[in-house]
Amino acid sequence: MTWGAKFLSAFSLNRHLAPVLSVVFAGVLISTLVAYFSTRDTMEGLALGQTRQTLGFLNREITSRVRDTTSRLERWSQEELYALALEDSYLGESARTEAARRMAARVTGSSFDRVFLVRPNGVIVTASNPDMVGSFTVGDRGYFQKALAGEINMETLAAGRHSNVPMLVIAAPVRTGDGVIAGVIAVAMETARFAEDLPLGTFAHKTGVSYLLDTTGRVLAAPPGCEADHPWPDWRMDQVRQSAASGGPAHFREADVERVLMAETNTETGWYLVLSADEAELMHPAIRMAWMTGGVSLATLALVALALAALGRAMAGLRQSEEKFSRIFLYSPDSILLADMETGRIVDVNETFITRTGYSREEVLGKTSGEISIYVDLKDREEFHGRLRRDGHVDHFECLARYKDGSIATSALSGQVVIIDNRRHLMTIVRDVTEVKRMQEMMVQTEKMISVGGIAAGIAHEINNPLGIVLQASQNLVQRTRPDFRKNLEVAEKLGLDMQLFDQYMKLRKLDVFIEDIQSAASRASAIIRHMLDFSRRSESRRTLCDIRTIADSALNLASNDYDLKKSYDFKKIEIARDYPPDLPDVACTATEIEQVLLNVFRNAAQAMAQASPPVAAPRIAVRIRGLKDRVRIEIEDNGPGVPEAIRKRIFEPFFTTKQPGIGTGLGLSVSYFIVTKGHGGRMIIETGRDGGAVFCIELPTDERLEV
Amino acid sequence: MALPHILLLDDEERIRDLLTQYLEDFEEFTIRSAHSGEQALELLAGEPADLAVVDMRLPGMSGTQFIREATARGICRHFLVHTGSVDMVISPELKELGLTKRDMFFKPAGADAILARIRERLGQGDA
Repeated sequence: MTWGAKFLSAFSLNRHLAPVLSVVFAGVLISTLVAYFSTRDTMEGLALGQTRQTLGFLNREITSRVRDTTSRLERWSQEELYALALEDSYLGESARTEAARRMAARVTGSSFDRVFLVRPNGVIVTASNPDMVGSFTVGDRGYFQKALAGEINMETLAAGRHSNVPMLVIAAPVRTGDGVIAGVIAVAMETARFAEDLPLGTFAHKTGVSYLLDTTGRVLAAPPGCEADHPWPDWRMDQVRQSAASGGPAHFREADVERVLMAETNTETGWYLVLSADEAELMHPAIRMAWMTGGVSLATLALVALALAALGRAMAGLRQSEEKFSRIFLYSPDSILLADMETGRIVDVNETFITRTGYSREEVLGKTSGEISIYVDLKDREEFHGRLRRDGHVDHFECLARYKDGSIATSALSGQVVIIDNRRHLMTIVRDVTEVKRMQEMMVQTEKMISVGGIAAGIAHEINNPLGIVLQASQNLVQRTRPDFRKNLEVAEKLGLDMQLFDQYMKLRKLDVFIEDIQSAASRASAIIRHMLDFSRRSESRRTLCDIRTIADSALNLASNDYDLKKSYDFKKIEIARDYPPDLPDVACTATEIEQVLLNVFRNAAQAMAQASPPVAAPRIAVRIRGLKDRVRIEIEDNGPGVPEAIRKRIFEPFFTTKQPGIGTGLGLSVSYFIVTKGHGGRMIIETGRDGGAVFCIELPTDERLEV
Repeated sequence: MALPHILLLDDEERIRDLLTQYLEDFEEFTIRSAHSGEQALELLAGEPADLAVVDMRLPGMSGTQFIREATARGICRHFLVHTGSVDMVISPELKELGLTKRDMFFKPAGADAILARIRERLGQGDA
């Protein structure tokens, strides 16, 4: 037994297991999908959240620095020194020197690069870096103009005039003591340097890169090793703007690598803060986690699926075998009974049982086979059950069964103990072998006859010659002892013998009877030989289509004129009841042979009734002819004493006779049987009639082909 | 008037003798007998016969051969078959030679029946 089979049998193949497992399967499938996607979402959200957090941190850092710088600048712009430094006076001159020193001091260690003071005409009057003074003007710059209008503001420059790199400039107005704007003080920071100590490069992912971009896409700052100061193409800026606006990730493709970016806008500076990484790397943990969760679920799922498939196969096998069994049970040509082993009560029977025995299902269910008296001999039942208990099964146990109509059938029983619903049941298969037995007997019979025929053919010639001598010698004896024969008288006269006296002597001493005995014995022996030959003779005579009714009538006519029969019984005293159908198919047969068969049967019936003691009061022979589906059946029933069982078995045997010696050859019925079965492919059986008389049934096939 | 000549052909002496003795009692025929076809032909060569009763199974030539030969030579006019054979039908060859079912006698056959048929055949022949 395989493991799977053990496993299944452990469950006793409960049929509810399949639907339950199917539901489990569906559940696991759904939970697998949910787990996979939710884990993936969660992990993605986690990764993106982390990115967003980083961005937020950067954003706040930038804002706070810018604000810090702005507020410092605002404070500085209120210092009198700068207003003074903008004056054209001597005081202004010295104030500028001091302002330059102070500004330079403030640059040192700060995040900005330069501080400079601008006159309303755009000329830098003093700066933290002396080389800026007088080298260029900033009058056209937006930050300057806004600051001059009184607004503290900032501007991101693509390229500063002094350093020619992207710059962030914050500018504030410088007012005189009475509040008049005397100029502008500005702080300039190279964006790259500004971002230097921002954690742009400390982003968690290997392929992660963070950028600062201005609104046009120019790179303001990039982590070390990354190229800065070049504009991003418009398409990517679209992604950046989209991400900044939605707060979600944007996906793009760069050098055949799927990348994802997230962007935020810094409200102070208007910059875009962009974090970008390989999507695979960013999502890797998410996918891995999702796969792990999904994988566990999938493995479970696979196990459930395997179990389901195995179960499904087993169930299908079970269903098939159940179906097969129920078909066998239903359509078996044998009767099948199912009885409870404990109680012996019949639980089920099949159709064949019902049609064969004549009992209805209701009549047998719940009863034991003993109660419905189907066993002719209850000892058979005991023995059958005893052997079953001992061996667990019985094969081909032959016994007699009685059907509901009282008919007896030879049955072969095979029994087997089977477990159904955890109870021991006895399954009995009953085969009706009556016909098989009869066929076997028929074959044995035919064999015997053929061998008789063979022997007869071999010896007939040798016996016929001496028989001829016996017969003719006795004829000569008769002729030469006749007292009225001229030649005899002549010879007797010569001898002086009185032929009349001689004749008297013959009669007194019964010599005439002896001679007659010799003659009739020779005739009988010759008849036996001739009948024996009937067994070996091929039917040379041609078959013709005959009406059995005509043949039966002519056989009856022959019987009533039969000389041999007259000696023992007068056939004319027997009442003949003909029962012929109006329509009857013709039978291909040799009319004389069938006539002989019927004559034999009539003769046999008449003799049997004549021999009966007490004699049959009103002897009667019924001749019934019936056209069946493929044959014609002739029944010849007498109201004589019937045929005892022991004789019935031998009645068709050659030389078997119940008649007194000298009457009949013992071959008549046996030759008839041979003609019907061997010669015409028919059947001849003997049954017992309703009145206890004998019924000879002869069946001749109608489909026997005509031999032309 | 000369009696009709009858020839009895049978290899079994007792059968020949019994039939001869039966028939001669009637003093209607001149009877000769032979034990083989060859001997019979010899006899008939000397003097033809009107009718022959012929056994089929013989040493040497068969009954059928004898009948054919005798017919061919015109030394016998009528034939009856008297046989111990089990073959109950008349062979096509015999049929050809003019024999009918009624000319067939299967042993043991009654001598009276044979006599009746002999008289019948001879009567036909004379007519």
